[in-house]
Amino acid sequence: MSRVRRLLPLLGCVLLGCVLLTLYAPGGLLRRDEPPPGPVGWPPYDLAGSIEAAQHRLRRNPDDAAVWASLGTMYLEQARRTSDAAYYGKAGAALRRSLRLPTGDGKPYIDAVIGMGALANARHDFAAAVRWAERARREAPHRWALYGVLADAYLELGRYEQAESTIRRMLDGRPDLASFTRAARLEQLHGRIGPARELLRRACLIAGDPAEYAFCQWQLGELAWNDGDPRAARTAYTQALAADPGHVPSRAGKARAEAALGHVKQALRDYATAVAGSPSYVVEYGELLQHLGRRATARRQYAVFTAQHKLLAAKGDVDHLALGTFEADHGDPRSAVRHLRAEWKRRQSVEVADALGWALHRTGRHAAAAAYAARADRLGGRNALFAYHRGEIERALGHREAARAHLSRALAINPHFSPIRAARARKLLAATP
Amino acid sequence: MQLTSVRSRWAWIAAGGAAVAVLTTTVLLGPTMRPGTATSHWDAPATTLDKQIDATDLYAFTSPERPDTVTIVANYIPFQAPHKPYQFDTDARYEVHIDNAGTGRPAVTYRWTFANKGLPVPSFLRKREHQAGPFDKLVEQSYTLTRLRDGKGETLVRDGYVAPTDMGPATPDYPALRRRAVRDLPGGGKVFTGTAADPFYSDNHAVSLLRFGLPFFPVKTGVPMNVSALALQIPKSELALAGDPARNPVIGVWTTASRRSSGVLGSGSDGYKQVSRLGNPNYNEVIIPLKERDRFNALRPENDESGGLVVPATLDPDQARVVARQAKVAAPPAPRKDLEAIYLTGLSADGPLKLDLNSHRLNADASRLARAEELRLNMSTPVTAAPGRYGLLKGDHQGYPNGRRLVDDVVTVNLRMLLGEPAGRGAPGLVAEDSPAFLLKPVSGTFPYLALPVTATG
Repeated sequence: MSRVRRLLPLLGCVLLGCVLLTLYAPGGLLRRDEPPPGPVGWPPYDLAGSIEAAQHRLRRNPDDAAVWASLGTMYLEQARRTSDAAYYGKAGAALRRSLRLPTGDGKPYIDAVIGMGALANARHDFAAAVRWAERARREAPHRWALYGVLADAYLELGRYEQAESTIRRMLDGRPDLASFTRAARLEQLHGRIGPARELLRRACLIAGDPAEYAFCQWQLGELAWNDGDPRAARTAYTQALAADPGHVPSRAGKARAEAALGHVKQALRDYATAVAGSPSYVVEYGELLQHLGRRATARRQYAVFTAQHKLLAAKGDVDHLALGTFEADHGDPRSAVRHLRAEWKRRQSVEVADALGWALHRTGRHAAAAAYAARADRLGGRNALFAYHRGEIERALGHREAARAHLSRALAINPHFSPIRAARARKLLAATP
Repeated sequence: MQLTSVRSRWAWIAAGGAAVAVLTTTVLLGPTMRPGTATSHWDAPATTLDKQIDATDLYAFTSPERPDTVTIVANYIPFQAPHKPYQFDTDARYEVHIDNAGTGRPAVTYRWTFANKGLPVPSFLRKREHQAGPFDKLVEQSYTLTRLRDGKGETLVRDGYVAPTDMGPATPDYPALRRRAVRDLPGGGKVFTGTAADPFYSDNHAVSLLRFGLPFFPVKTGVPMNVSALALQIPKSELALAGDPARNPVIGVWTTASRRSSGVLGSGSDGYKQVSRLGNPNYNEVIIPLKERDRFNALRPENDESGGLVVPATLDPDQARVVARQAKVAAPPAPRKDLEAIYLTGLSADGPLKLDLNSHRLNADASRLARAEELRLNMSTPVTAAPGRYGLLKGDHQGYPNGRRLVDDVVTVNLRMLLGEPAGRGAPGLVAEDSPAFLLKPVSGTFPYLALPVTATG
């Protein structure tokens, strides 16, 4: 091995895992116009840098279907992290470009097919996601990524039995973060909090980068929050933010938990940060402000929501679930019913059942509302909001015992589930002996 | 010459985007929250890296200073940033398997399992990874090493010490920690478990050719990194069929990681599932089609012959055509009996390479042989005094693909073999042999040979 020592001073090159390093001859001239090395210890997994690298490589090799597919997937991830919808267009373009290019076996590059499914999920076109994933399954039944796309689409479509068999297939074939997190979601939907927590704990232990870790901790936070434990929830959200300070869902979750723990100022600060990162949380923020009696500020948040959705609608991108949920509580319940009926035609998930039931109740159709509210509870999930909605609906129907039971259940599951609604549930329970 | 003085001259070629390390999954997750709306409560990362069970490289060679032993190194958890603690998966079994009969079944298996001494803290908890922070607390791990053979398990090491990464002040006198992590095994062997500088290197032109049309990994760095190594030095008599390395000198080696699964909704198995498999370098990513790569990771060599994947993929690899087209050369026509010999049977005089080198046929006591993808080593090949990085291609019979040494440039060798060498003429000039590529940190002359972990200063 002494030869090694003699060679080293002259020249060297190392490929470390998947990155090449070239050690240049004395003189320090770079042989190619590559950027200079970064500081030692820089995070190896860097999305923006990887996108640049992929683009760079595609300029030299524009026919590489694999790199186009990777680029599309990375744009998808970028959209997820930045909440910038422009990346969906870029992702779609890169993935379609990959699909058109020849591959070794003459078939479309499989990861591009799966990527199209993931893109469809991201755009909430879950039926299309199922079609892409099924196509991928016919081509490559052992490519595990496709089952993740499929399981997500089934979960969102309310096809829970198919979701379950898909998740079992994942766990049998490849137990990993992707399968553990999905299995946890299924457990949670069925109200099995302990098993869900254990699966998420294991997912956290094998997370490979800050984004994955933040996601797992955020899920643990959501689980604790929905189980009525704001302290544990805040701990988990804080862990997520330590790994990824820009993780907006965890910031919003922390705001929610801080409010529940009585730290209102901190809650408002966290909400302000969250809505600056993504407008997804303006309604929730507005509701806290409304609860605090700051009606004008709350209305401004609702106005942001309305404006945002007008913009989206102008682009032909209508989110019926979000709009229907908002309209039922803060706008026109009849419009809410229209939106949610449209969504129910597309998918019959427990979330849509709950929202539609609530909107129907708000238009006075309590009997129809009760049927949907019951469907929302059909998996046995412990969801305080669903229970509250059922309580209100049963009350409107004059079923005092049932109303009491559901309202008490809502507060038992999570006494902090919503500042406005929890207060109202308490008031109703106090008023009806 | 100090490494630190040349560091400034490294330029990184992330755009070459190359890997021998197989990031085993790029799992797309989760419908995202649509920007501006709040309807989805499910917003998962787009890729899962799953580094902990990612077998990145496997080495097997006759120990130069103890030629009656063989050294086997299996490296896991690629791309470790310097100064960052990384942990093995405590829910996984890491195994090195030895097939000495040529059946594809392991005759001896060495199994590592790990336990945390304290709460593990992910290495990336600080956003700015190059700054050590309070979250970078060193969490030590211990391991148990078990030898499985003849259906029986025997614990060789209990509460073994896993060498952590070199974290500067948190790990004073690092060389002493390294020494502590090297242990003697009953029967004359040694084991080392822990962090080391990644010995992998390659020529970037070879990598970009060989990997054309293969997935691009979302990794960017300009600095050397560490891996977590499982290293064994075992007497040849312990590994050879019938305990007789003179009569039966050939062994096949591979490494696997298996992770405990989970049931769901109260039913299903929580048994261990094999999630990573590595024998010959590049084999899964280059020979096995992308669509089947996950499946290969779950296959056992004993099922290679009948599984309908490994044999046909080796006899007619798509990637040979892709690479040939890209390099504007011709690849040999299928069926590739040469690749079958190299990867699935080992070389023998009656094979296409007309050379008795590392086929299990050379084992006098072997009877029924199966084609199986293993890194085959002839333990009787004498140690080459001045090893050449191109191994067999330049007539160095002790080099890859007869086992694999730390100095072998396996990417270039695999590229040239894919294009027809050494059975045919091939395309030897494709990668200049004066390539500057070489080991970044010198390996040492004694077990475990691996250089100490890379740190911020070299």
